[in-house]
This record gives sequence, C-alpha cells and structure tokens, in this order.
Amino acid sequence: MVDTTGGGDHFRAEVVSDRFEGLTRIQQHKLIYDVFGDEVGGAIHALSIKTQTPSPAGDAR
Amino acid sequence: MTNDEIRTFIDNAIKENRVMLFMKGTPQQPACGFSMRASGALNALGVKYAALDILPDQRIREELSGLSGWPTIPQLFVDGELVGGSDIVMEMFESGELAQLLGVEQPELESEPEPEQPVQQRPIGLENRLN
Repeated sequence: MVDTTGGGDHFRAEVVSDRFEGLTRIQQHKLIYDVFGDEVGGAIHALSIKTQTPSPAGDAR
Repeated sequence: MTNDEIRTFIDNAIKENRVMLFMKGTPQQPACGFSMRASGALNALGVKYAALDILPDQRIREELSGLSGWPTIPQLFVDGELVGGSDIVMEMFESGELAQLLGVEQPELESEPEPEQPVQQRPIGLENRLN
C-alpha cells in the first residue's frame, strides 16, 4: 500500500491473494474496495489497485 | 430531475450505448488523470463510445455507484456490463484484451502514436435536464 502523493488521499494497493483465484478483475477489485468501505470516493480520493493470484497463470479473464 | 430519474437515465445510457464511459470531464477535456487514461485508451483504439461527465451534479455519481457497486470514477461499461475503472481498463488495454473485447485491432504501440481524437457517438447531455 503506497501513498502516491503523500497527501493521505491517493493510494496504490498491490495485493496478491489466492482468494482472487477464479474471480474476474471486477470481483477482485471489489474485494479490495470492500476493505475500505465508504472511504473510497470519500476520504480516499483515489485508490489504484493491482491484484494478482500467487500463480502467474491464474489470471482470471 | 429526481434521483430516480437520474438513475433511469444512467441505466438507459448503459443499455443504449455499447461502449459507455462515465468520467470526470469530457473526452475532449478530461478533469482527472484517471478519466483521461480511460478515455485515452478508447481514443487510441478508435472505437465509438458515449461519455457522460459525472461532475455537473454529485447525484450522478451517487446513483451510478449505487447501480454499479463500484465506488470510483471512471467506470467503463461494454454491452451493459461494468468492465472496470481506470486500472482495469489500462491493464486490459495494454494486454490487448480491451481491443479484443471491443472487436478492434490492437494499435501498434511501437509506431508513432496516432493523434488521440475522441470518436463519440453523440454527446450525452444530462446536465441540461437537471433543472
């Protein structure tokens, strides 16, 4: 998790999890958004997300 | 315009436009780097798309996110389905998946970039209907 501007409102998250296995990118990103709840779009202006499964071949979609 | 009417408008825009981008600003004048990247990818692919600026009324964004379950802007819909925000759109653009989904040729990225002129089906003016 990186604060990209230092202002505490733009972040980049790179998450590797086997929970992403078999999910579409939309579903993967929604799991991350769910962690932050209403803060995304509110206090967090921008959250850039990159999701990956542990196995490189496990790319959903 | 009531919230319900805004939601119906958004819903129809998604259904009626095969490629529908909700963004901050316009393809000609994006108001945010993320929206600029998403519309830039569509421009580079040369596909026709409709775009709606969510900035004129905050209820547009509220209703859109309520409908899509996606909290941030931009949001790209293809064939009525949410494809993603700018991260997913850029990932899919770079991998060629977006070109494939839209049925167009992936542009040669090594060659001189084409001038990225937006190709819009028609302007969508929600702001004119808000009052």
